[in-house]
Formats: sequence, structure tokens, C-alpha cells
Amino acid sequence: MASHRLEIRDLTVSYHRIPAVHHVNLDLCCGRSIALLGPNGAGKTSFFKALVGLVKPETGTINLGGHGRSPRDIAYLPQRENVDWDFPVTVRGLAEMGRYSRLGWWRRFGAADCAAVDKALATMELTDLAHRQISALSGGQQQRAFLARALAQEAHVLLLDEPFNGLDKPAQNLLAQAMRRIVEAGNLVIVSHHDLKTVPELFEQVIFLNGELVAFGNTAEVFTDANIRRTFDTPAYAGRTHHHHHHA
Amino acid sequence: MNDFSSWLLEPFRHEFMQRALFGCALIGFTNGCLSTFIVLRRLALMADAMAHSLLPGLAVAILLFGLAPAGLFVGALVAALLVAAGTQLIARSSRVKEDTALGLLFACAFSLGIVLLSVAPVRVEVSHYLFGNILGLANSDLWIIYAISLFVLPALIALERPLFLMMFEPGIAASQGIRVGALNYFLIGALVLSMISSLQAVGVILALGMLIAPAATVYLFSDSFTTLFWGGGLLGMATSCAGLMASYWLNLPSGACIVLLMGIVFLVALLASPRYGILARWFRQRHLHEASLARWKESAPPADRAP
Repeated sequence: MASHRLEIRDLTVSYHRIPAVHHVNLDLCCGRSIALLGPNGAGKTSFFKALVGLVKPETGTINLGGHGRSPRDIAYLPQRENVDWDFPVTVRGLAEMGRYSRLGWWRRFGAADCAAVDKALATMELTDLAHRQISALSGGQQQRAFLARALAQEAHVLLLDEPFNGLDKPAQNLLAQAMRRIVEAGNLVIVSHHDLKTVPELFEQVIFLNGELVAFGNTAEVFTDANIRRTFDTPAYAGRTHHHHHHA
Repeated sequence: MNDFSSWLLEPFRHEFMQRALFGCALIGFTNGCLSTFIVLRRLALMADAMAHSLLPGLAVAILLFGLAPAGLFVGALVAALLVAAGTQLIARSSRVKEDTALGLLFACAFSLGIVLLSVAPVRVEVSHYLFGNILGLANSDLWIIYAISLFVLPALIALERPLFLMMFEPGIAASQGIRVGALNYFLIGALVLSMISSLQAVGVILALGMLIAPAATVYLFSDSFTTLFWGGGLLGMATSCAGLMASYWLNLPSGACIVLLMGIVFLVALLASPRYGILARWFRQRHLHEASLARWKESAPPADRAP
């Protein structure tokens, strides 16, 4: 599984003809944890949405393991504000949702599905909380509940939108452990992240994004002051007003 | 015991009460099941607007075909579709938002209906439109109710999984290949159909009550979508039938009785539900607060608390 690759070629995403992300080329290896860094409006969420198929890319292709991607291979964890936490669903119910795309509309929940859900909950250390409604969890537990769904879905690629936001230190550590377990199982985890201080301890690779790809590589080599400055100090391409601006 | 069974059965010696009970049970159940989707998708106000916008369609149908049920049915359906389409058209082609467009259109539609009815050759009471007349159900009304339930319920059950995914996270559902747009239209369609089926019998206000109250009540007890769906249906059926009985013995308007009973049941649930009731929340908050305080005192090392 670790040999799987996510190949992104010439990806451009735009809203009303204004590109949010343009001409991104990336070759990513499964079994890694990757930070996606960039200022607000750099197109991180657009990049994720294009990968998971929530928005249609203007140009470009996305390939997973040599073939096109099927919807269930890539799981997207929305930012916490975008979830209706009062929805009548338990932790277990959430994880079971991950099986639906496999089961289609009709097929009964089988033993294999139950086993996959059990395993996902156990990996995320949520077995004891399985019957809790999702609003009755702490922030970190909520993130892990969504990760459990991605695991139950048996997705290869997990896209996490600001999962560490608003978590206290112990919850961050638990989430980081959970993330590590998922990576060790051969999955690719891409995390949009704000807190630059924690990047070296959490991620093996980094993607610097600001409208276009600024830099990509191993954290030890690419996570440099020069790249951080280049990414965060340049205004993002934002349509006509920045017409003549050229990125370095 | 004998008294009770005669109390229970006496009303149903009248044929109109038998019809009314059948109509109540079926409409209550179908609308109760549908109410799950209205509560979770926050469509309650939209449903209200839709219900009122049916009036001009009915008025046109009365002008053209008189009071024939088929004509009324088609008229209501066309009116609902026009208002829905008009709302989308305004919202997508201008900066006016959807709720504004819908609110404006339904007020205009209702007014148009009143104007049209005033020139209609038959006298139609607006209060009949609002509260219907469940004691005057004809066979044709029952057939319409039956047919619509027979379409709406199996369709909802068949589409349960995609609907569930769509209601929780429309975006994610779309990325998994679920046709969210089509499902949305189906949901609105089912809503309009069941409204029309309730219209003759119970009027728009009762239809709305039945389309909101059951799931809103069960929502205070349960964290399971399936329970919400079936529980909403059963509660809708039970309260409709109970309200009908109450109206018979108290000699009160039946439609209003049913809605009021649903309101009372909701109020009791709101206060007393063990999980999400107001009382439970009040007690639990105190309890939790003390518990966390105790935990904090225990776990915080003294050094941290030193000034």
C-alpha cells in the first residue's frame, strides 16, 4: 500500500473564473504525513475540495495508484464549524456512514462492515464512546470520530482541514498519535495547518501553497525561513487587481 | 372497562368518523415520517411558505373545473412548482437571497389566491383551506391520501441512506456520488405531495403541524435517525387519532384539536425529556459543573495554582 502514489498534474481550481489554486503539480507517496501550509485565502480548502471531488477542477488530473480516483479512496474531514453537531448520529453511526459508499443504497450491513467499524473505532480509541451523540464529545474526540469514519471507509488518502485548531495540548497529542497510526498503516494524510511551531514534530513533508505551489519536500529540507517568508509574505493571486504580479 | 371501550368505540358508529380516523392515521403517519427531514434540513419555514402558496393553484382549479379533486390536486401541484421555480430563479439571477424571494413570492401567491377566490362562482371559505374538514372526507379524498402515502413512504425508505448522508453533509455526499440536487427536488416533491394529500382533509395549518411537530418531539429523545423516522410516523399517527377523539368528545374543531395536542406533547417533551429536556439540562449543568470543579481541584498540581 505504501507504494501508492497520488499524482496531481496541472491542477487549477477557480470560482467564477478567478483561480483559487493554479497549475499545481505534485507527486505524493502514501504512508506519509504532509502539512499543507499557506496564509488565509491561499487555496488550501479549494485544493482539498478539488482532490475529494467537491469542486470540479478547471484543468488538470488527479491520479491515485496509477488509475483515476474513486470517491471512496479519498476522505475529507471538514473544519469543525462546518458540521451540524446536533445531528442525531452517534460515534458508531458516524463510522458506519463510512461503509455506505461500499454498500450502496440497499445492501445490509454485514459482518465485514461491523468488523471494519469496530476496528476503526478501536484504532481511534473511541470504543468506549461509541454510543455517544457527536456533540457530547470533546473537540479532539470529534476529530477522531471523523477519522474513524475515514478508516471505516478504507480511504487511502485523508485530507484534514485544520484539525488541530482549538484543541488543547493533550488533545493535540492524542490526535497526533492517531494520525501517526493511520500513516503507519500506509495511508497518506494531508493536513492543512496553522501552527508553524508544531510542523517539524508532526509532519514528514510540507507543501507550501499560496495560490500556486511555492515549495514541496521533506520537512528537514524545505521547512525553511526563506520558504515560510516566500509563502506568507506574498499576496495571493486574487484576480484582476493583481494582474501584473508575478510569483518568484 | 365496558365504559372505556364504549367511550373508545362509540364515535366510530358514525361512518364519517371511520373515514376521519382512517385519514388521520394515514396522514399522521406519512407526514410524521416526513417531518424527520423537515426538522433535520431546517425546512420548517420553507414548508410553511410552500403550504400558503398552494392557494392560487387551488383557486384557478376551482375557477376552471369547480371542486373536482383531480383539478384541485393538479392546481396545487402547479402552484407549488411555480413558486419553487420562481424562488430559485430570483435567488440565482440576482443578489436577493432565497429566503427573501420565497417570503415575497408566497405572500403574493396567497394574496393572488384570495383575489381569485373572491371572483370564483362557488363560495369557498379560507378557513376551510387553513383547517380543512376532516369530518367531511369523501372517498376520493381517502384515495388521494392513500395513493400519495403509498408513493411517498416506500420512496423515503428506499432512499434512506443517501438522504441520511445528504442531510448530514451535503458536500461530502455529493463527492461520494450521491446526486444531491435530485434528492433535494425529490424531498420538496414529497413535501408538496403530502401537503396536498392533507389539504382536503386537514388544511394547511394542520398539515404543517403534522409535518413539523412529530420529529421535533422525538428529536428531543433520540440520537438515532431511524428512531426519528419511525418514531415521528408513529407519534404523528397516535396524536392525530387521539386529537380526533378529543375533538369528538369535547365538541371542538378537530383539526385545531389535533395540532394543539401535538403542541402539548412537544411542550411536555421539551420540559421533561431525560436527555435533551430543559429540566434535565438544568440539573445536568449543575452536576457537570461541580464534577469538573472537583476534577480540577484533584488534578491541578499545587504549583500551578500558586499565585
